[in-house]
Amino acid sequence: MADRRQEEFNNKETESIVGPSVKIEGDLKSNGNLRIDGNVIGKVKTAQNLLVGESANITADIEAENATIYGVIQGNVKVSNGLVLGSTGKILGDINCGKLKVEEGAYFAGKCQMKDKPNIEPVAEIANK
Amino acid sequence: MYYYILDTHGIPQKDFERNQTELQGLLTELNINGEMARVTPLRIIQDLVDTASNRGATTLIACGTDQTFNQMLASIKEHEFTLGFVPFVPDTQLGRILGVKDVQTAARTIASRRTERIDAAKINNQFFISYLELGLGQYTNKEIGMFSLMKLFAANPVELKMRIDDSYVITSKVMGALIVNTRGTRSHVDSPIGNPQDGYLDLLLLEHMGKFGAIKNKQEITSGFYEKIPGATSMRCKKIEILEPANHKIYIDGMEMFKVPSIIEIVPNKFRMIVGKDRVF
Repeated sequence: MADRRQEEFNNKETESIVGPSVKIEGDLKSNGNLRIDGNVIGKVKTAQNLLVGESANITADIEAENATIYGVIQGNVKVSNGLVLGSTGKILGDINCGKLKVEEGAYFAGKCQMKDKPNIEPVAEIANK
Repeated sequence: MYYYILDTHGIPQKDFERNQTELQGLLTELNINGEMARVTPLRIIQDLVDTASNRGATTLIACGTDQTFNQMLASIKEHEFTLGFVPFVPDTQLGRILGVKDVQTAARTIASRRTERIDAAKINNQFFISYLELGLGQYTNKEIGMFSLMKLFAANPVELKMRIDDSYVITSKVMGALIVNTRGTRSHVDSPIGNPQDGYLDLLLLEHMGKFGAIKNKQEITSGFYEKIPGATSMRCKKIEILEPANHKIYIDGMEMFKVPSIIEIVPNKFRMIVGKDRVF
């Protein structure tokens, strides 16, 4: 599954790819799709899609439109649309996203906040009907 | 007014004379005559560019090799010219970029005068329009056999350290690196990399790989398409400061031109170039 997703991502127009042997320190910003397989310390921000590969180790707050995580992130993740936490993905930090999908085997330690509140009646009100 | 700078450097005398005669005939036939000046030890390209500017030339044409054009670019500074190129040797990097493969197509291209604005890249205040090469990158678009390639991969990787866009520092052990404005191929048609009209430089890093990897990816390595190799790095940026390793050589088209540390920047829409229909952008 992880391989298929990562291949699909590569088939999209990827603006920047950070290879596994690369180490980045500072604020990494991109206007296009971004794939990270290396190490980043600082901040990561992209206006489009982010793929964090299995070999990636990121100590940074992250902002993206969509994100798919198969590597390790130590920091807060803010995604305006969809976040996929893949089977090998690990997030140690808070999540803020529009849609969330968590695959079996993923690890997440932090708070999660979704953008849109669903229209759900409280249990007490249902019981009173 | 057209100002033609003719440079014999790197061209056999016989070939130079033949190309010059052919060019003169075509310029008369196509009615694009102008002033011709030949580079000599006493009149270097810088002097000729200054002369062209003083005489009010609006179009500057380098006739010779890629090196002739690169030296002309380095001499232009803030002068405003429309630029052209006439290759006097086969298979030039610039000829591929601009779509002018020989004297005949170059002369006809100048006559039809289709121009395009392109970005210039600048290293230590010297302009170039193609790409810089580090490490194995210097063999890009060069004939290199399998045995030689594998021998090159046996060398130790280089630990590069660069500051990008004044925003972050990148360190990586690489076999080769390219800093690309354009690659002289139609690569950007299905890829954002190597488009000289997008206002960006593309940084490509080739990681160390085993013999099998080198054999499998020979085509991508020798053509400079590193982004198609698994594990390679490709990043878009506007400014690159190469910080380490100190004194490491930086090449343009296989020729050593600069050394680390160096600063590379993109200058969007800097040059107006005369281009052929087979240009790569």
